[in-house]
Amino acid sequence: MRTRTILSFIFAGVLSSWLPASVVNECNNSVCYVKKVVVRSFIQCPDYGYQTTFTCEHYLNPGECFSLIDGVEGGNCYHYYSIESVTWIPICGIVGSISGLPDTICANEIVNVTANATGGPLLQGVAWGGDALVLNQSANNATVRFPNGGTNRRILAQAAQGQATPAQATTQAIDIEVLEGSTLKSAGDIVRIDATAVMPALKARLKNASGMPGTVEWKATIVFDRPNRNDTNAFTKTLAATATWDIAAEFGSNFYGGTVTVEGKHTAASGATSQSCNPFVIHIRGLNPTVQVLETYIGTTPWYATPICRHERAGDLQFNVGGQEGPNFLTTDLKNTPNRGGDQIGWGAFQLTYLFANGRVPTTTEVWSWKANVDTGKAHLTTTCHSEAAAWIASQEQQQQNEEPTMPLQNYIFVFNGTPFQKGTARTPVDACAIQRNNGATSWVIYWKNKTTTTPGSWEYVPAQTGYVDAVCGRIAN
Amino acid sequence: MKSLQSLTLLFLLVNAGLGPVFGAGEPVTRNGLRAQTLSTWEGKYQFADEIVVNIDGLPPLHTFQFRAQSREGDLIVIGTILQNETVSVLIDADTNRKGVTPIFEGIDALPDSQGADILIRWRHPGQAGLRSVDRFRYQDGKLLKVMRADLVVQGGRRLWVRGSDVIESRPALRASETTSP
Repeated sequence: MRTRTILSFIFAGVLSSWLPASVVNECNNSVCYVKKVVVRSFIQCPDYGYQTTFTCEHYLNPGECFSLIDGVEGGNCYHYYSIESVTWIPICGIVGSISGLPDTICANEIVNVTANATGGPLLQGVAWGGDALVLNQSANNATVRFPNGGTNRRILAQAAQGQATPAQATTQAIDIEVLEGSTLKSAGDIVRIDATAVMPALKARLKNASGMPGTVEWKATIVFDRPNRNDTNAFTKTLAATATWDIAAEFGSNFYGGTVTVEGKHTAASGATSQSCNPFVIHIRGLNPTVQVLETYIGTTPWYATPICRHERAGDLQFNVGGQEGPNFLTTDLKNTPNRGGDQIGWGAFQLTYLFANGRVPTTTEVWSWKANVDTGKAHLTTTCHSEAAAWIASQEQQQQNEEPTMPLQNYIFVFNGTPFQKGTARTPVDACAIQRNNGATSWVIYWKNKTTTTPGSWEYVPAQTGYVDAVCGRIAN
Repeated sequence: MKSLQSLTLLFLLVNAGLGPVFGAGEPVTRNGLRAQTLSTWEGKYQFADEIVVNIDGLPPLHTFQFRAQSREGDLIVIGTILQNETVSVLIDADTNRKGVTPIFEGIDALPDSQGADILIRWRHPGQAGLRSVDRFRYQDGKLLKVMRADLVVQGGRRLWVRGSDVIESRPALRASETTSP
C-alpha cells in the first residue's frame, strides 16, 4: 500500500508537468471563455484481467488550473489519464442584468425574474440568495418568492463556468409582524381589553427589517359592524422601515374592538412603492370585571344607578359571558364581545342607546370600555335624566300650587314594585321620573292631573308607564 | 270677579302651554308661523324646517318643525297653504304633552280615491328607543286622528301595541294612607 501511494505522487508530478500553460482560462475584452478539456481515462486492474478507457469533459473557470493525478484505485487497479483535446469555448459572456425584481416586494409575493446576458447564452441561469424559494427555473428565467421577508433579499444570475462575478439584484421583501407588548402574535389571534379596562398594547413592525432602507406607511383598520353598530376606524403612520409602530398609542384614551387589519406599504429609497403587503388580521375582544368590581365602581350616587345597571345588563356584564370566543362577532362567537341587549340597540353594562339631551349614540369607547360605559351611563342619569325629571316635577308642582295649593307633593307617596317614593325622603318622585327617563318617558309616571270644572286636580301615577321603574326597583336588593 | 278668574285661568293655561298654539283651522301667515316661539315644560322651541308632502289629488301638506336648542324633540304644526301665504292649521303643536317631547322621524302618505292616510313617525328619547306612529285621515280639507301605535319593550323584546292619547292614571296615595294603590 505504501508503495502505491508513493507511485501516485510520482504520477501526479509527471502529469502536472504535462499540462501546457495555455490550459489556464482567461477573459479578454470582458468576454469570458472557458477551456473545454477532454480527458481520456484508462483504468487497468491486472488482478482481474480488467481494463477500460473512457473520456469525459471538464470546463475550467478563469484562472483555474487543470491537474490530473494518476494513481491507485480500489481493488488493486491503476488509473491513468491523458488529455485528448483542449479547445476554447466562448460559453457565457458577462451576465448583463436581472430584470423583473422590484425594489420592494411583499414577502411571499411571486416574482418572475429574468437574467439577461451578453456574449453568449446562459448555461446556469438564475440562482438565488438569501432565503429565496425558487418555484420554477429555466436557463435564464425563474419564479421566486421570499417567504420570510427581510432586507436585501438577493437574486443572482451566473453562467456555469467562466463567470467570475454573477449579476445580482436585491429587493426588500416586506412582511408584517404584530406584537402585543413584546409578544409576537400570529395572524388570527385574539387580544383582549383586560378586566381593568386597558387596551392591548398592539404594535407592528416589518419582519427582518434590520438595516432596511426606506419608509413604511402603516395603516390599522378596526371594524365592528354588528348591527346596530357600523364602526370602522382607521389609523395611519409613516415611519422608517426599521421602526416599530406603536398602534395602541394612536388610540389615545379611546377604545376600539372587533377585527383589526394591519397593513404596511414600504417605499424604497428609490421611491418605488410596494402595494400594501400581506394584511395582518387580529381580533380585539374584552374581558369583564367581576360584578363586585363593577358595582363598586358604579358606587351609590345616585342610588338608582346600580339597580338600573343590574336590570339593563340582564345577566351579562359589559361583554357577553356566554357562548364561545372566536373571530366571528356577527353570529357564532359572541363571548367577550360587547353586550347588546335583547332590543338590539343598547350596548354594555348600562345598555347605552341614545344619550343625553341630543340623543347621541354611544361611542366605540363606551361600547368597548366598561368604565367608560358606566361613566356615561351615570352621567346620563345625573344630568339629562335627573334634570329633566326635576324640571318636570317642578312644572307639575307649579301647576298644583296654582290649582290646589293645599295638596303639596310631599304629602303623597308613589309606590313602584313595593318601593315608596316621596318628596323629602331618600327616594323621591324626581328619582322615579329620572329612572323612567333613562328608558323613555313617553308619558311621565307621575304628573299633576289638572283640575277641570267638575273635578279637582290630583297627583297621579300612570300604571301603563311604570314597567321600567317597577323593574329597576325590583333590582335594588341585588 | 268671575271675568278676572277666567282671565287668570287663561293666563295660566297659556303660560303652562296648555292652550292651543295656533288653533286647528285658524289662519296664520306662513312667516308668522315660522316666527313663533313655542313653549313646553322643557323650554322654548324655534322654527327649524318646513317639509312639504305632495299627495296626488290633494293639497300639499306642510309640516313646520320647531326645535329646542341643544336637545332632541320636535314640535310640529301641519297645515295647508292658502292664498296670500296663509296657513290653514290642520294639526297643532302638542305643547301640553305629559311626557318628553318626541323626535319627529318622518311623515308618509298612503293616498286612495277619497283622500289619504297620513302616517307620522316618532322616536321617544331614552335608552329603550321607544317609538310611536300616529295615523291620520286626510280628506275634505281635514286631518283627523285615526289611531296610534306604540313600540314598547315587554319582557325584553320590542313589541308594537295599540296606543292611546288618553293617559289612564290613578291618584297617588296620601302620605298618611298605608294601603298600596
